[in-house]
Formats: sequence, structure tokens, C-alpha cells
Amino acid sequence: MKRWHELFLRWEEGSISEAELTELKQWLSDVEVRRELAEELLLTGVLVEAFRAQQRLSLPVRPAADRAREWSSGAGTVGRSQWARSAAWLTGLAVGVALLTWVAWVLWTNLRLGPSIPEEEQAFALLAELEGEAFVVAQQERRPIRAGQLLLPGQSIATSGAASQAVVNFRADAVHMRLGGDTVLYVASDADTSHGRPLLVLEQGQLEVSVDRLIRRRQISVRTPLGIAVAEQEQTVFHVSEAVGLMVVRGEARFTYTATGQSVRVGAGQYVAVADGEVYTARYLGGEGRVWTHFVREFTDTVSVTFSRDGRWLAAATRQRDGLGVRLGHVEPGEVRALAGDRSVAFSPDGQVLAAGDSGNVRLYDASTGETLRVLEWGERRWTTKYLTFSPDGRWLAVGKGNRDSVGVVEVWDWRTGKLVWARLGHPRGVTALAYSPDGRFLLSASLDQTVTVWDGAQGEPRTQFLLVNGHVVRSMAFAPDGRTVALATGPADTRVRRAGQIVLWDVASERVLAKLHGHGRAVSSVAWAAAGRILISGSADTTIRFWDVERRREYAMLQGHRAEVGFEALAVALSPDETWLASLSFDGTVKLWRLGWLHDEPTMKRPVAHAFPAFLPLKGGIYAFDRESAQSAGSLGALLKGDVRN
Amino acid sequence: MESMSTPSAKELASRFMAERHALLGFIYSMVRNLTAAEDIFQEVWLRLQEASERGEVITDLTKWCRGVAKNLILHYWREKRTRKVVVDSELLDLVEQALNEQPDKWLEKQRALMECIEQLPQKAKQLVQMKYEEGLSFAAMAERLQRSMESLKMALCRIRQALLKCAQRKLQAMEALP
Repeated sequence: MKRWHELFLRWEEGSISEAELTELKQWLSDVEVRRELAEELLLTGVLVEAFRAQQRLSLPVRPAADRAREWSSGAGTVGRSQWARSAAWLTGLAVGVALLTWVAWVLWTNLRLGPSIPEEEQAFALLAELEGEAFVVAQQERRPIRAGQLLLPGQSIATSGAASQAVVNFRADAVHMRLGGDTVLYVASDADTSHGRPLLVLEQGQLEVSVDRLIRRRQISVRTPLGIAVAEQEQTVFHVSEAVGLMVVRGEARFTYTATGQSVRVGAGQYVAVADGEVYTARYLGGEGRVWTHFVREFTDTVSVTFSRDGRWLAAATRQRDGLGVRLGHVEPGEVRALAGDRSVAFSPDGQVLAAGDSGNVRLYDASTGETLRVLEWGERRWTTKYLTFSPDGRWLAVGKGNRDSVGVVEVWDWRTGKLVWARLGHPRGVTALAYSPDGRFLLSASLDQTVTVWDGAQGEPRTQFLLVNGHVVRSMAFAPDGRTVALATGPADTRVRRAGQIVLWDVASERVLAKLHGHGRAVSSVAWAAAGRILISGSADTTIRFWDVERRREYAMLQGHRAEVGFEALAVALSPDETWLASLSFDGTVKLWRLGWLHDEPTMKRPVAHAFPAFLPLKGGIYAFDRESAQSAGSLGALLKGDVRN
Repeated sequence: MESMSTPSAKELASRFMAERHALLGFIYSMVRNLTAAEDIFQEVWLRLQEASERGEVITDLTKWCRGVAKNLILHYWREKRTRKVVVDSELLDLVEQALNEQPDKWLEKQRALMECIEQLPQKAKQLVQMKYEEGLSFAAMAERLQRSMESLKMALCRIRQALLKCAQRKLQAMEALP
């Protein structure tokens, strides 16, 4: 070690003496030493940046196939085998040919594309716009960041708060990234990505990536919790988020599923779905929906939405500070009344009466006038009414009550006379959902105690109890038209937890779980059957509504029409009886109506489901992809999913 | 919504980022604290933008940035004086001079260094990581690795020299290409 270097190290360590400092300065009067020092400083800068970036990218994020290739190529350089040595000259020849080819290619592309954009223009990311608050995260610290500030490679940017947004321009404005609220994005350096690692890592939240142009044909890659999205074309726009994974708005992207290394091309209007470890594309349904009414976002509590049997009326409920948490009105645009009540609503089968939870009671309204007909009161006030449902024949009204810290009560009322038929302290914790079997013989109650109990509808005798073994809670239940299959919307007990929920299909008669449908990123909070039991529609705390092909046990479309909100816990869905309207109520405070005429009119849907979705064809090695040609020839599945979701 | 995407800002950012490693190395070597170095680095950038918006004519962006960085380092030292940070503006001038004497185009060298870093053996990477990613002192590294401080200093010095030589070889090889 040179003397000046040793002294400079001591300076950097803060352990240099006055005499040594004087000596160091004397050394630095030599121009050659200053030249060496300048190189050392450059090296320090490169090291600081490189190692900060490498620390974050040390996770094995490449597909298994890539890793295998890397391993096989690495075996040639570390501990060469006899065979490898004997083949070395061949490799050398191949490298020589490859080098010549590369030189020719570079010359060709430069001639064809004109002068390339300087390398230095590719490196930076600039925070161009900021709404709300954001932080730069580095060295396990976070510091506020302002618009105009640079993001160094190896740093993350984190927006703070659901309403915050940030726009980061990358690669000399060739790529724009719009970060949503509560989003954390890590920006890797170009050197990192030269080894196949992703350029951007979405650690949390949602991101829109717009690729205007690719500099030197270099791809833009984003790692998400599910896999790696790569934009290979210019003029590509895609969304990545925890909820949706990857969705392409414009252009085309490739998605590699981290768990298996499978990849799939995703076209405009498609998103990536995974079923049974297979990755495939499904249709992303755009559109904004019509806002039927608003709520004030005040509580993070149960939400409910329902159609009357004739499909003309719509009711919705959540908890409001003024106590007017029920909305009642026509489906068509018009007046929407605000009525006393909260959390849950249900129309009587004849559509004349609307029942609504009202703290610990039940309030019955004349559906046409909104006048209170009767209040059903029983039990302790602290047993909050959480769920209501009429029996199919309209004779009984079942009421589920209770909170996290109280018992779960199931009541059945003869609502016309106001008499309580039976009541059971059925669960050690509050009731979350109820469902009558289509023949009315059975009533199911789900509870925060993670169980579902089957009751004799008339007598209130418990028949059986089903425990969700994964510790999930059921938040919505719906019987299929076959009268024996129940769809259970499940998720973590605390819906704010960022853990995936699932839909459980349960055969009540045999007490067997038929299937578990995975796809939602967070708790599933609502389910509804459609197309005579061939389709399931679900709403989730991940803000999406998904459409499931029941026979194939996989989702085929998604609608994302609500905003994520702080404390977001639920999204309720309801399908009009003629299956032309879908209503959704979310924690963003809006009730929206979506016209889904295709669900009813679609000719392919009238055939058994196995033939209704010919659009999923196996591609290489069991990877599934949406086949547009088949979809078009099938009639209108492609078309309906492209444009038939409208206001 | 604040907005900062003007062509001049874009051009400035490109030029600034092209020279960033030497500037960051300069700041880090002088303040000896990664977080403080990054703060100063960002502040230099923001001041550069402000100057540009004011219409200030900057003939030599690299020297201008180093000058601002030097003032910020001095300010940092003054604030930390109570913590017995060794302060020497004469040394700072000499280090600045060392950088100013070098050609501004570091790009090829940076790229070559990055490639060389990728090829470092794992143990060497571990040492460099402790120093430049975790910001550990030699004393802390010695305690963690149960080695003497002197041997660690020598090891790190050897790694750095190997990297510089590796980069030099790469650059020479590139120059030799027809």
C-alpha cells in the first residue's frame, strides 16, 4: 500500500493525526498522486452505488430456466471439466464468430437507426411530478423527496398516503412511471439489469409504466410479487400492482411467473392470471361504470348492495355517522333516498319490503315509498345487526348479529307479524354472513369464529358445522342454483392484512370442499352466481371484481372500477335478476352500476361451460394463453369482454 | 401538482448523471458518511436545477458541481465540529484539484469498473459490501470478521487496486480494437 493511500484511508476513517494530515497534503502536491487519487475517488463512487444496488437485487428473481442456463454456463468457468477443456478451442472459435457477427450487427443497426443515444442518458430517474408526500428509501432510512430530485440507482421511492401520486421519468424521458398511493418502487442500475435482473422492482402498491421508446432496444422490466413484466415494444403502457399483477393497456408485454419460470405474452386489454400453477391471460374489462350514489367514507365496516327481484330497485348500505347509511332508488338514473340504517340490506322476494340493519335492530321499509313499516327488536343492543336475508319463499327474515368481541346470534323472524320465530347464540363470535338454500330448508351462518353452521331453516336446529382450516373468515355466501353447492367468500380475519383470500366451493350435502378458487390479492368479500351456476362473480378488498369459469375453476375476466382506500376492507357485488346489471359498493364510497348485457345474451354461455370458453388453448408446455381467433370465432366472448362493459 | 420536466432539466440530469460517480466518491471521501454523502449529492443537484432555472450560465458543469459540493462539505463539517470531525479545507481544495485536473469523461472507466466489480470473488465482494454498502469502519469490520484492522485495510486496498487494474486492462483492450 502506498503511503499516501494509507494516509487517505486514515483520513476516511477519521483516525488521522495532525502530522499525518500535513504529510498527506504534501503527497497531494504531487500531480501523479493527485491523478491516482482522482481514480480512487471515481472507484469509491462506483462502489458505493454498485453495492447499494446489489444488496437489493440479491434475491433469486430470475426464472428457473434462466438460472439453469446460468448454472450450466457457470460450470464452464469455475472448475472446468476435462470435456470442457478439450472443447475450449471450439468455444473460442464460436466466440470469434459471435464477435464478428456482433460487430457487423452493431454497424448495421447504427447505420439503420442512426446515431445511438448516449449511454449516460439511460441511467437516471427523475421525480418529475409529486402530489402528496413521498420518500426516498436508501440505507434502510427514508427521507422526504421533492419534485425535481434524482433517484439514484439502488434507491427506492415510496409514496405515502392513499391519495399520493408520483411520476418518475426514466431513461431520458423515454419511460414514464406513475406511482399510485402507498407504493414502493425500487430503481435498479443499468449495470444490474445487464445481467437479466429487473430494472424496476414494485415492492408494494401500483404502478403504471409507459414506454415511449426503447433506447438501444433495451427492454423495460418490472418485478412484481407474482413475476417479472417486460415491455419489449415501444409505445407500450402497462399497469403492475399487487391486486392485478400485470395488465397491458397498449402494446404488448411478456410476463414470467416467478414460481415456475413460465412466461406468457400479454396483449392490450389482457391481464395475467394464475390457476393451479399455470399462468395464462384473461381479459381486463375497462370502463368506469355509472356512479349510482355516494357514501361518506367514515367507517371501515360491512358494506352491502342488492337488487329487488324485479330488477328495478337497488339498495345499498354501509355505516354512516348521521345514521342514514341506507340508500334506496331505481336502477335507472333518478332520486336515491337516504334512509336510517346501516351495514346490510335485503329486499323481500316480492320486492315490496326492504329490510335494513339498524344498529342492533332491523328496520323494515316500504320499498316504493321509503316509509318505515316496522322495527324488529330483540336481544342486547351490542349485538350489532351485520347481515340480513329473506327466505326464498319470503316468509322468514334471517338476521345475523354480533361483533368481534360478542357472541354471534342468528335470528329468524316472521317479519309480517313482527314475531321472533327462533334465535340461537350460534357462534362464540359475531355473524358475518347468512344464506338460505334455494328450497329454504337450510340456513347457513358464517362467523368471525371461522366456522360456517348449517341450521334447519324452520326449527333452528344446528345440522352441521364447517371449520375453515386456513384461519380465514367467510364474509359472503351464495347457494348455486343446484341447491347444494355454496360459494364462500373468504379471507384473513383482519381484511386490512395484505394476504390473499379465496373462494371456497363447498358441497353442503357431502360436506366436501369441491374447489378453492385463487386469484384475488386480498380478502374476498362478496360472491354472486350467474349464468345458471356456470359463472361466479366476486368482489374483494383488492378493489377488483372477478369473473370465474366455475367448471374450469379459473378466472377469465376482471373489472377494476373502484379505488383503493386507506382501511379498505370490502367490495360488495350484486347481479340483477336478469343478469344485465352488476352493482358494486366499495370503500371508496361509491355504488356503481355496470352493464353486463353479454352475461345474459352471450350465446356461448348458454352451452355447458366446457364449451363456452374455447378461448383458452394450451401453448408450449402447458402454458395457457388467450387465443383471440378462437374467441372471435366463438361469437362474442372476445367482443363482449373488449367493449361491452359500459355505463 | 409540482412539475419539473423541462428539456433543460432533462439535459442537465443527463450530464449530471454522467459525472455522478466521481462526484459521489469525492463527497463520500470527504464526509465519510453514506447518508450525508447522498444528501449533499442531492442538494448539489437541486442547486444545479435552481441555477439553471435562474438562467445562470454554467460553463463547466462538473467543476460547478464540485464547487457547490465543496461548500456543502465545509458546511457539513462546521455543523459536525462538536463531534470532533477533522476539518481541513486545504485538503478539500487539493482533492478538488485532483478531480479538476482529470478529463471529465469518466464514462468508459465507470462502465469498465462496473464490469470488474461483477467479477469480484465472493469474499472480496463481502468486504467491499461491508465498507461501502453498510458503511462500517475498519474497527467494526475487524470485530465482525475476527481479523486485524491492518489486514482488512490491506485486503481492501488490494481489492481496489485489482479493480483499477482490471478496468485499465479493459480500456486498453477496447482501444486496441480496430
